[in-house]
Amino acid sequence: MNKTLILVLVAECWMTIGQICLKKSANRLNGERTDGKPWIIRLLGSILRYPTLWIGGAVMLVGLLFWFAALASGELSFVYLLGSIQYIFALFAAHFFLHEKINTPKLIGTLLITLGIILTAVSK
Amino acid sequence: MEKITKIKQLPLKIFLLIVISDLLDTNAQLLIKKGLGLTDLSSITSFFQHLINFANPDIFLFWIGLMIYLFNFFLWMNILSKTDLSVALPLASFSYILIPIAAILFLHEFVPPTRWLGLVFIVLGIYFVSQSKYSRVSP
Repeated sequence: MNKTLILVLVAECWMTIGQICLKKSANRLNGERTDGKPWIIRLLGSILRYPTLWIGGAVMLVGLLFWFAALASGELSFVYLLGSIQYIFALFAAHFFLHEKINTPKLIGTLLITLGIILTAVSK
Repeated sequence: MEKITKIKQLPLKIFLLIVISDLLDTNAQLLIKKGLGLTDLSSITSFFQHLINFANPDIFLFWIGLMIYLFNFFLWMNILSKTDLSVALPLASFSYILIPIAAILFLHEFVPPTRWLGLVFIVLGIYFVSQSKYSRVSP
């Protein structure tokens, strides 16, 4: 295991947790009436009402710092492609925390992405 | 359960917004990478010191890249609120093709054939993931 790979894995773990928090808030927001206010006003209003929104944002910022460290340690084309591991993390995280179903197209897609990441990881 | 309105035909405005988002992401990642260079990661403090060392002119590229990245995050949220993820995601995976090209042109990276093959599988995988019908759990 090289340093870049570990940094990408850590970064994407944080990013996925952040995404789950944001998606949880978004699911709640969908139930609300919008009253025709601009999206930025609605966003600021909901930041105050839903803690998962700013917790999610903060967690993603930590992930972003690890992402910078990953970028600094390796080639851009290598690091960016490895970053697609987020789709795999998200599949399982969404299943366990948001009760989203894993169906055949998602599974095929995830297997293809895994194959792509393995090929990228060995491409040195 | 709330109603889900499906947009069958992608409006040109949304399509252009996604393309702009792809281009912004490519620019942000490129500037951040160019600004960081190959930084010594031996300690966290030296990494942060490197980020605020404005004597190094390259670090400005990092901060411009970061601002574009954060702006793009809100743009992406805005796109997702207007269209289905299954429509936005395959178009967003365009940046997986743009980034290696940008890395070759502007960072003089060498992209080996196995990495190109990996890219093909990743983009194909993102397409499959986005084609799955999603069910929204009522809050």
